[in-house]
Amino acid sequence: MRTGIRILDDKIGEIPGNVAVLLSTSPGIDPAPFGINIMDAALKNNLKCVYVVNNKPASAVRMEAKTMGLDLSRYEKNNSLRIVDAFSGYIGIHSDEKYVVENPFNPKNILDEIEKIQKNDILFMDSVSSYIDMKESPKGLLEIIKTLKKKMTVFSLFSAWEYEQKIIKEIKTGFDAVLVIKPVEEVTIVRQFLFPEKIGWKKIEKFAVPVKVLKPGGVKVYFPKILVTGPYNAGKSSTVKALSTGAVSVDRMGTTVALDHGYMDYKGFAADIYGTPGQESFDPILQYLADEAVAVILVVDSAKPETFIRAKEMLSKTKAYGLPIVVAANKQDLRNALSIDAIKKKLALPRDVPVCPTVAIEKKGVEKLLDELTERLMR
Amino acid sequence: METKSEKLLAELKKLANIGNIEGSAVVARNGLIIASDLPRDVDERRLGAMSATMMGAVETAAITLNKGQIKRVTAEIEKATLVAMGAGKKAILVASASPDANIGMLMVEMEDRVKNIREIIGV
Repeated sequence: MRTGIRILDDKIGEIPGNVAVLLSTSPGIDPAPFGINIMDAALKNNLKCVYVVNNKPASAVRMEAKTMGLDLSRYEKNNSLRIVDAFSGYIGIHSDEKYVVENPFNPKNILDEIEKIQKNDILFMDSVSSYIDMKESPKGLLEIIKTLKKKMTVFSLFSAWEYEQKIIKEIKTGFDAVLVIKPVEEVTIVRQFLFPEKIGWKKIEKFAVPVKVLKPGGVKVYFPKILVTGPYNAGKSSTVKALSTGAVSVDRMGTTVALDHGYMDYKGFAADIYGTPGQESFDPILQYLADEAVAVILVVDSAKPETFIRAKEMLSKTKAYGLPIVVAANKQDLRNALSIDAIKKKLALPRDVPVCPTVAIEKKGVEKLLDELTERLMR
Repeated sequence: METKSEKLLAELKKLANIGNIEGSAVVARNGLIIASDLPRDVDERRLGAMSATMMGAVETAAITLNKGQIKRVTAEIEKATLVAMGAGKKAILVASASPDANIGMLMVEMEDRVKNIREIIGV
């Protein structure tokens, strides 16, 4: 199976059966959306899942999935998903759920309820933290995970509150893989990153995946700012629109005067797109718009090579050199459009900068552009 | 210990207690949201991007006029008054109030918050 989270999947590959994975989040980050998203990816691949929840009602899991834009009901209907309520018994209320652990204080009861379900590929335990709060030691839970992973893949969710280091170590040792999600303070903003702390089945280099839970949208590899820039009338606004699921533009008579803003959602990647104006009179605000961008799309008019000097000037004004850059050679449908090779030659950008033919108003060539962009964002 | 984001959110919550303020956000001057306390239906990422653009454009106009620093930008909108003021080198405080809000009171409160926000962000 795979987690459905890009970059992570690309690096760690297929998760083998019979392993236990810990999803550990810093306080303030709820691990449940990550668990639910991974489960949704598994369900879409026709795997059977069980979700054991002990820290909120089962209905809260369905609701959380719904806000992420995921519908679990069809999987529950065809029995590929079973949600096991280990919460009601804990707080002593009645449960109308089909699968209930009457007395979750004894881990054996949780095990029995899961084993009653005949066929299952993946188990989600939400959460280890609540179990420790209840029992003061993870021991019992770790033992049942050991038993269960002989038959299935186990994902356990864990909010790493300020527990004793000894306990945290004991928990992590009980898992084949540990994925940590924590906030990282950048220049101004705080972003969330997923770090694989331990992958038991594969030797991997250290890496970090920028993530965000979009509601709706689910867990995405997320980039807060991708810049679209280029000379006047090159088709930047059309490019922003073509890349976006939703976009607005502040324009007067068809030319952007402030900022185009859009959202990209493509093959597991999500980003906010900032499109700059192209006219020189707006250059003073470029520095604000470009600051902290993670990648740049340079849009040029393929039929106007005389504007390429301005295009390169904009790259330097937006401090794009050093960031991943992809070029959209736009208006390729014009009769006098230069060939890609000719554009490459005239632009004379570093060799690894790809130049993609596009016709932005018809959304032509946009996929290739996005593939080149995301491929560079993964490095 | 409280994180920066939590501290900033606490400042915004204080603003929310003032009559007529419907939402507020601390936005980086580059448009990215640092902290926000906005109504659910408001697209915070877009508001952030546009507020920063607005501030940047007015700042440029001020420099062009050669008349010194900007104190704040106030936009009178049909159903709201939008106020943005600088909060240190890196951030802006943006607040949206109902059109009949007492602007004087709003400014005083925002300036108080700005002092704290600058301290929290550190520049």
